[in-house]
Amino acid sequence: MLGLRYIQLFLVLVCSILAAAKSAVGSRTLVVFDDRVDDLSTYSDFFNLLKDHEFDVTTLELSDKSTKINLFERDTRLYDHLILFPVKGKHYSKQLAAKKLIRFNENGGNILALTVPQVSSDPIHLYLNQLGIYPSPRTQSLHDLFQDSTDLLFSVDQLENENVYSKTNEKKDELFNFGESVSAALLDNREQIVPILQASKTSFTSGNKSREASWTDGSQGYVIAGFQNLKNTRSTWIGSVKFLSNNHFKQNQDLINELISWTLQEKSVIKATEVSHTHSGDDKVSYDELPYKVTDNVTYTIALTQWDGQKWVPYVSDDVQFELRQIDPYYRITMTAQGPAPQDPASELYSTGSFMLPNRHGMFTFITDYKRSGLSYIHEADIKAIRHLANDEYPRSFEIPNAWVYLASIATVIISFIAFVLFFISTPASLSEGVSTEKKTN
Amino acid sequence: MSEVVEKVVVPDNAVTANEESKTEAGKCVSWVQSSLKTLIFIAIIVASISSRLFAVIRFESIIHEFDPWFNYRATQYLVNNSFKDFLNWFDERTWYPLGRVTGGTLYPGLMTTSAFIWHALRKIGLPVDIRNICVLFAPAFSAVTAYATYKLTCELKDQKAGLLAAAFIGIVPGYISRSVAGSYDNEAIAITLLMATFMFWIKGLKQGSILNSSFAALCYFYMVSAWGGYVFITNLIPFHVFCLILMGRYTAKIYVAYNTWFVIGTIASMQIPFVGFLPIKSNDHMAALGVFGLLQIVALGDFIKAKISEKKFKVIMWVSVILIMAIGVAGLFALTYLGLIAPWTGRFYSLWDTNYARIHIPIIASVSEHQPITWPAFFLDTHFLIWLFPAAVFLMFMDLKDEHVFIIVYSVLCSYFAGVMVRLMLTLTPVICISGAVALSKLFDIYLDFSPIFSTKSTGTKKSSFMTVLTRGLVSASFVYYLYLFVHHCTWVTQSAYSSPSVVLPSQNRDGSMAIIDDYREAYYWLRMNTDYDAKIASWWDYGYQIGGMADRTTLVDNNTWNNTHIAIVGKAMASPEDVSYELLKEHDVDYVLIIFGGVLGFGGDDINKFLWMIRIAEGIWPEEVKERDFFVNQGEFRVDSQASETMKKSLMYKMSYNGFPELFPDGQGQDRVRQQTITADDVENLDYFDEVFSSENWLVRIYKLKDVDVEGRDLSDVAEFEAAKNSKRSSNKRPQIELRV
Repeated sequence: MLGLRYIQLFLVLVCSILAAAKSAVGSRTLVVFDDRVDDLSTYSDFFNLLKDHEFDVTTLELSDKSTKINLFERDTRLYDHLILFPVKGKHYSKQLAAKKLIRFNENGGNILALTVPQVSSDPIHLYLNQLGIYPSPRTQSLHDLFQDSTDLLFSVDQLENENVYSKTNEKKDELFNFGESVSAALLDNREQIVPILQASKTSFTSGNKSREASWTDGSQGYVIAGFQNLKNTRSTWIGSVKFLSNNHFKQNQDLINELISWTLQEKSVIKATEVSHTHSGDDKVSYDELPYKVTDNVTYTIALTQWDGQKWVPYVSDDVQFELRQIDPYYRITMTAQGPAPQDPASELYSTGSFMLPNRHGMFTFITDYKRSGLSYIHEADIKAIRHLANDEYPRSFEIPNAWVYLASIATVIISFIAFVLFFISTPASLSEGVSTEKKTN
Repeated sequence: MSEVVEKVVVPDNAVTANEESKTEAGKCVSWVQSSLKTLIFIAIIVASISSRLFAVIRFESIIHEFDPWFNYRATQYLVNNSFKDFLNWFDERTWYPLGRVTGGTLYPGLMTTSAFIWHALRKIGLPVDIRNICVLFAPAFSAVTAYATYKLTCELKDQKAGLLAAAFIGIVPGYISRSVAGSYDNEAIAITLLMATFMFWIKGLKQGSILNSSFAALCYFYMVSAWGGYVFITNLIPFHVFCLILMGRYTAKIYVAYNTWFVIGTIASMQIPFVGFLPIKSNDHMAALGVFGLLQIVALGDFIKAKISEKKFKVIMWVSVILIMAIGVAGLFALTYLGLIAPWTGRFYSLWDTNYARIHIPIIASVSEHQPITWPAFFLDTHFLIWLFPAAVFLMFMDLKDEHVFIIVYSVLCSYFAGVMVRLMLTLTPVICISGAVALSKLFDIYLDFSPIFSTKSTGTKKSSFMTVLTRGLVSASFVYYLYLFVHHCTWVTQSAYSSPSVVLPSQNRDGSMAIIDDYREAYYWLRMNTDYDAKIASWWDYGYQIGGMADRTTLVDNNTWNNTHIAIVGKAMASPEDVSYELLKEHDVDYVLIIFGGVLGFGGDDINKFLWMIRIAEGIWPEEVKERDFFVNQGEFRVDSQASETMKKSLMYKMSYNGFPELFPDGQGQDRVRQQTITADDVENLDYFDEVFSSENWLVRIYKLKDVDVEGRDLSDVAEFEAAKNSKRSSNKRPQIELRV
């Protein structure tokens, strides 16, 4: 893992110096396809686009059974991205088993997968099912009887995620062509799923057999769906291959471009560069110098940066929240952007401002859990102890007006006791004798 | 050991000659007397210390059991930091994530005493490791206890009884049980202070001395700083005074002694942060406050009585008594109702109703120390003193001076309490020793007196004198034999029953030689070396102090059972199915779960046997989610084999305990040696959410790690299912049952 990180870091450095490769994580891309399903030459525009993005593309044809696919050499990942065209056959199932895809994805490799209704690509289906994306099976494909053309068209309005594809006014009436046979998928309600393109309300899936229940109905189905795992690696599934083909390329270019950018991590990649919390005040005393105690005023700051395809730039937003938790949150503060961070101008500094720690001691977690659909997840947690007041940190009794009455009574008792003793001693003895004689007569 | 007894017997001859010690010969006798006394004391000290060293000799110099580990850790903290740091110590490594205000919730007397000794030894050029001081602390203080007991008994009878009492307390198992080397617990110092406080109290009372009563108050303060059992003194002394007043024995001496003790003692005890305002708030302390008030009224009445005629006084008395009673009772009710004075604590209720704790506060009942005592334990702990004890109480009634009333009150109260809670045997033991010594010395006064033989003027015939000598000789000899048996018994009990550190378990090899089972330390050391410093360990609270002390890792709950809900969380995690436990433990940032499993070794005190308590405590908080009934089979049995209930088999504790257990046996039929039941592989379901990371040599300690959250956001049980499936599996054509997307 650590090795991978270094490689990534190195690649990022190289990228930023040469301004050549555009993905934030790397450019080594493997494309797996099957000649029996499709001829790769019909996708030349797509590959040119990849080249424009300066990806280092390796292609692997799988109709020959002797071909081996190695995603890893020992534990080192060989590719940063994997593009899977529909492939037939059992051989493929073994070579690219769902477990291998999961492993590749968990180790930081992004996956762009395409399926078509004609070919049952079991490993891809199994892999997607693990992510909570359930593409329609081989027997079913998407239909929309309200559309005149045989090709299925989707409008920009059906796009759901701004971080994947931002709708601007100029693009308002764009239509995307998905060709004739399209798969639609059901999505479960996992929050890591990034729904991208929704099927139209009038669409449905159906198979050859009329009795078969439809897989999706109306806007329940999706034709493009993304997924981002907790390690911020992305997967995207597209329910049609023809979507990428040269025939429709001009029409779809915008969306294809954005999908590549998002899936292969050229955009919507953010990270925290600097997290700190200190005592409030100009000298910013840290926890290590002076541990927090209850009702101290502290300030929490976090710096966020974003990959713009060439370099890291400040990430500006108004919904970054900080939480102070002890199992349950005690504070949830929306932080304000303060401009570029002083130490690192490439990131934006967010601050909670000064806030007072709760009057409760214990272990508290200072946490920024920024998870927005389509953006990289940020989870920065720091557990710190907040101690109680020490015995000499309470106000003294004479500083509390309420205590003055007790202090006064103590003083009165002491003074009157001394006065009594003095009076008792100085009284002549005859007086006490007088009392005792009185008793006898009583 | 038997030597000691002989020496205790010897002085009786010497002391009888005490009366004529004014002549030259008398001076010589008194010199011999005092040197003998010194010798006897040295012998007693040697005996009491050495008999407590069995633990060190047979095992090693190690801190024992559970609570001592906390005391040891706190002492280390005190030695490494300043006293002020210690006082304000916030311990973030226990009770995660609540933390514990340790400095304000402990009795610092023990730690400060050992730290003081440590510093003093360093000052004189003896840099002793703090661990050794802690280990040898209890034996050293047992010697001081012997001396304090001697002084106390001297006040009751004479030096002869004192020396006997000192010898008894030195070696009696009832006291040794809590004060062997390594048993670094509050009781180690508390019994010493208990005796010292009582000694000064009796002295102060007898003489009406402000000085001695002040000493009693200071000892009381020290006691308060050292042990929660100080409440015993807080109630016993007022009760004594109350009895004396009822007996019409009010004197100015009582007034002086009690007021001095109460005022100084109470104000001093309030300086301990953990006690704070309890002396004026808690009902446990109300008796002392009430008697203080009563004494003022009695004193006033006494004064008025001396001034006015008897007839008038009677009227005044009745009116004022009724008035005071009414106001007092109403006031107590009102204050309790308003919540200004705390209601009685659960431990207090369980003193009166032994079933109270079992029903209402399982956390108290789950501690073995809080169980009622068994009859044989009395004999085991005190041997022949137990039957001398009633005789002695009877003899006290014959004298019935103020100090004898004290011992009677003490013995009556304590006998009852010891019957209710095992741990209170400890406070009963000293009074048994004292009474036993008084009875025995009274007996020896008569029967060990052989002077008639030597007396020149024979009053009776030769025959009767011979018979006297014979009977005296017989009785004395039999009691000397009893003493010999006593010493023998004490030594045997000490070495066989009370010297095990319980951190290391003794066992025997096949050839009969001793073997040591060291699984606990093996596991704690593993934790220390292989886990992150900030790792959080969930375990049942019994092991909290040990994990903190030996493994130095953060724990969720420990033996300082101050937060029942937090303990119930761990109980619920153990009693719930894996997925529920996993959520709960993840919420508390737990990294590892540690359990004790005795099935392989046959160790009865393991977590499965404690499991019912976990369930009960959890049920107290979540009666809907954890139900004790579900863990029993239909016949009402608590089973762990194939007939065990579904809930039982699904529970985390069961799965963790028996994970991989049947596979240990060649035929797959796991024999649980504690519960004598057979567990097969079919009974034990897989663990999907936890990984076994460590099992000690004899599987006594098993440590599991919580798996990471799945990066794809799946349930870990689904992940396990996916991982177990074959690669060539085909995707399903069935529409998945998924929840509505929101």
